[in-house]
Formats: sequence, structure tokens, C-alpha cells
Amino acid sequence: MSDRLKPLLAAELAAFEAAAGEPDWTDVRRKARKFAARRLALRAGTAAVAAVFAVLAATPALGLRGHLVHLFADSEPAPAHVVTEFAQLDVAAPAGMAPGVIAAQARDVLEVPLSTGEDAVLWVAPTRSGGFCLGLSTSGRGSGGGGGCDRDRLGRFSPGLVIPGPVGPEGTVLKPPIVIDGHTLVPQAVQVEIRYQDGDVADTPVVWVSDPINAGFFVYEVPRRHWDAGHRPSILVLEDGDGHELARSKSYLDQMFRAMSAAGVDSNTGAPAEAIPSQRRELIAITTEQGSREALWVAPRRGGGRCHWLTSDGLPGREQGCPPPSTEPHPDIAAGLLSGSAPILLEGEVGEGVATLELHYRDGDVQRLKAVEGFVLGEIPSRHWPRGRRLDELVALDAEGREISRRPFSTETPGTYPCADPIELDAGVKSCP
Amino acid sequence: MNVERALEQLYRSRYARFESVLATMTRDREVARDVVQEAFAVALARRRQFRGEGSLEGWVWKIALRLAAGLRSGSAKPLSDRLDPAVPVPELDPALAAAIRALSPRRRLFVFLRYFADLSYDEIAGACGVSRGTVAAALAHARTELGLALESESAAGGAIR
Repeated sequence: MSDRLKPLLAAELAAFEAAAGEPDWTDVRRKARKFAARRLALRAGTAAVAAVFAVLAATPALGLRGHLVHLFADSEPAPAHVVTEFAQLDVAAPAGMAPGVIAAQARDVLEVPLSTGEDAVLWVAPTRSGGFCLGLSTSGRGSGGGGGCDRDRLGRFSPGLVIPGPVGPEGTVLKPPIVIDGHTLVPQAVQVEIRYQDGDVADTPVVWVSDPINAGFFVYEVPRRHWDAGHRPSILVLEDGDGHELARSKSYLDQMFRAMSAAGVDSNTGAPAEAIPSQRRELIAITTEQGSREALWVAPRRGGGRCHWLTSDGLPGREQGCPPPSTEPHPDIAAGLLSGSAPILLEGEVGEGVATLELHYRDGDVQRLKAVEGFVLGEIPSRHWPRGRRLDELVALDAEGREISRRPFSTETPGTYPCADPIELDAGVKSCP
Repeated sequence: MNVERALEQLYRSRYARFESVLATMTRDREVARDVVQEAFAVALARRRQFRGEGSLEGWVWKIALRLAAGLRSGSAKPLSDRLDPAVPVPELDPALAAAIRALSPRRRLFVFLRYFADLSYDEIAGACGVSRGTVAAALAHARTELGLALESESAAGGAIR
């Protein structure tokens, strides 16, 4: 019977299908973006969602079709530890580089669920000059995270890559998540399309944050299947509500992945990813006032050059580098402080003819560090942490004790040295002067 | 092929079929059109959830039928209890139309999905939230009922086009 039934029904339906309307894929895409944006907004909290839809409903004629708007003033304030992190952006910034962030006004902007079961949370705070700073946690609201600032509103379309987990020696990400976040100043922006090297395409909505921020933000987790070379994100395209391209960031992520590969650390040896760890040598080791063993290691760099890195009690330390071979003459003094918390170390490279680096303190003390194969490593003793006793100048000497060069060393930046009584700087943030 | 492209291709090639079959469910072409647009939009927005375990079309049908039935995606109530497709066109062969109308709503729904939407048993089962055996049994009964009705009409001198 089914043999007779099927053509009968098919014939009837063919006539019925003739009355169907025209397909409109653009409309489907627009609806999909709204749907995705709505799901994202629902993660941001009920109050924010109410505000969003109030704006959407009230301003359809203002080019807000498909546009998700987040009212900054009504957003949930950032937790105290995040406010502190924002305020600290100003504390140790070099002269002229302080963003002037108004940390106390930091607000939650986005929450996006991650494959780890945690949420990515994006916080934003305005700056005094009309820009903003943003911070991203990939471990929910209870944790802090990295971020940056667009103090002068220069970032038309500024994506970034966040990899909070460990990275293997070959630059392999060992643990999720990998997150693309960023901001745009283009008011028409509705979504970011992520185009992968293997032809796959994904998109993520842009959430526009209202005055005084006036910028759009996005957060997107790169799926595991797109972590490896050949499958990674290749181009990010900023699009308006009709899918028209507004801006693109081409090959930026490839560069980021390469940089990430360079920043990878072997968890066993602390060696940078570009180093050949089997050929590592410990050049200098010191025992600090607190009893920790700080060591400086070197190893050949793959492709030429030399890598160096620090370990602290055998664990990866606070500094590493793998400069490629260079024909430029090395500066006589290229050492700096690893500061902020004990131990305070002076570490770095010196010129070929430098045998000793003298540390001249303001109270007249002089400390000598022996150069080993062009490297120095030493601890700044705690008696030289207070103002008036701090490091004031570095002097490079040759093997005969003759001065080769000297360099003033200013150490008045707040937060450089630990202290017993931090002072309040901004938004309740305390730091050592 | 990535899911977004596959969805667009499915949409463009099968739009009329989706709209027409859903019109039998919603009894209104405009509403059916909205359901199709919404269903593909939801599928597009949630495409990362599609794991390729069934057919893409079956997955979209599942979304569309749930929208047509007004069910939330998390509802456990079977679709076949909520959808009651109507005979699509008045010009339909009178004997066939009468036979289809005489089917139970569930059997009628399965007939429409099998012979109008051209879904497989597995796709119907997945879309309606029932077992494959239920679909097979319901369709077997439906074919018998329709066949008997059509044979009876034929024997009485009615034409089967």
C-alpha cells in the first residue's frame, strides 16, 4: 500500500508547496544573532537583561536592530578584589603610561559559560580621560584576571587571546580554556565572525556598553577542535546587523599563537619553549634572605641564539627570555628589578666586557655582582627597601675594575619594594610607597 | 562541510517543504513561515550543540515541531500529543483526504512527517520524542487504514489519481 500512498501524497504536497513563500536566509541569520545575544544576556543577570530589552524595545529606529546594549550604570558592581586589580593598573605604571582608571566604577559586563564549567567574566571600568580598562576572569567572579586599557580610545577593533592554563614546551595548550576577548569602538558592530584555518566559521555577539564606556565587548571560547595548527582561528571579522564587514583582524591570532608558543614553559625545567632543555646549564644561583634558592639558567635557543630563565626552588621563576641572534652590540647594562614581593632580585644581561656590576645605594652602600657569561643575578637586601636607602645607580666595571658605563636607577615607583605599612592610593587600594 | 553552511543549504533546498508541512500543523501559512524562520535561527545559534548523531534535517525538524507545538525545548510531553496536522489542501483527493482525516492525530502526524516531510523512521522518532518502534507500528497501522479506505473507495467506483 505504501507504494501507492507515497506518490499520491507527494503529488498533493507538491501542489501545496507551490504556495510557499520565498526563503530568506538573511532573516534567519539576523534572528540567530538575536537569539544568541539573548542567551548571552541572560547570563549577565536579570537586571541587565531587563535593561537590555527595554532599550531594544524603545529604540528600534536608532540602528539598534540586532544590537545588544548593556546599560553600564545599571550593571552589577565588580567585586572588591577586581576593583583592587583595576586600581593597581595605575600603581606600577611607568611615567605617562598610567591609564587613570576609575576603579571604583568597575562593573560586570559579560558572563559567558566555558567548557570548564566555570564562567568567563568581563569587567569594565572607565578612565578619567574618557577611555576604559577591561579585565577578564576565566574562573568566575571569585577570581581575578588579566586585562588592559584603551585609555585614549584608539582601539577600533581590538581582539585578544587569553590562555590561562599551562602551555607545553612545544607551545601546546595543555588545559582549557582558550578565550578570544576584546572590544570595538564601532557603534554598528553586532557580532564578531571567527573564521578558522580549516574553513569552519563561528560567530559571537558584541555587547555594546553604554555611557561612559561607549564600546562593544565580546568573549568567545575557542573549541578544543580548533586549538591545533591548521584548525586555529585565522581571521576575526567585525560585522553589523546585516552581516556586513566593519573591520577585520587578519592573522592576528596566528601571531598570538606563535607568541604563546614562544611563551611556553617546560614545567619540569622551567625552560622556555624555544630552549633546548637537555642542554641547559645553571649559571648563577643565590640563596635569599628568606632561604629560597634562586637560579639563572641558560640553554641554546632552537634556530640560534640563547635562552635564559630563572627558577625559584626548582620551579619556574619570574623571568625568561629567548632573544634571537643579533648583530647589534649588547648594551653594557641591561639588567632590571624583579620587584613587588620578596625576594627583590636584580637580574639581566651585561655587555661582553663587563666583569662586575656594582649596585650603588642611596645610603652609600655598594653591592657587587659578578657577571657570568654576560648575566648577573643578585638580591636587593631588605635593608635597602626603605626610601633613602634604595638602589640609586648601576655601574659596569671591566676585569681590571675600570668603569665601562653607569646608569641611574630610579626606584620611587609605588609598589616596587615591600613595606610594613602600605598607604592608600586609589579606590581603597593600598600599596607600598 | 561546516554546520552553518549545511544549514543554509538545507534551508534553501527544503524551505518550501518545511513551510508547507508546518502549515498543516499551524493551519496558517504566515505562522508556519515564522516557525521555519525561527527554527533555522535557533538551529544556527545552537549549531555547536549539533553533534552529528542524527541527520541535520531531523534535528531542525525537531526544533520546528516543538516550536509549532508551542513546547519549550525541555518539555517531556510528546509532540505527537500536541500536534494535529490538518489535511493540507481542499483539492486533495476526497477519498484520500477522508482517509487521512479518519486517522488518529498521532498516526496522521507520523504520516505527514513520513510522506510529506520525507523523514526517516529514526528522524520521526527523534523529532517526536518516541521510539522507532512506535513510529513503525503507527505507520503500519496508518497504511493499513488508508489502504483499506482507498481500496473501499476504488471498489465503489471512485478514482484514485
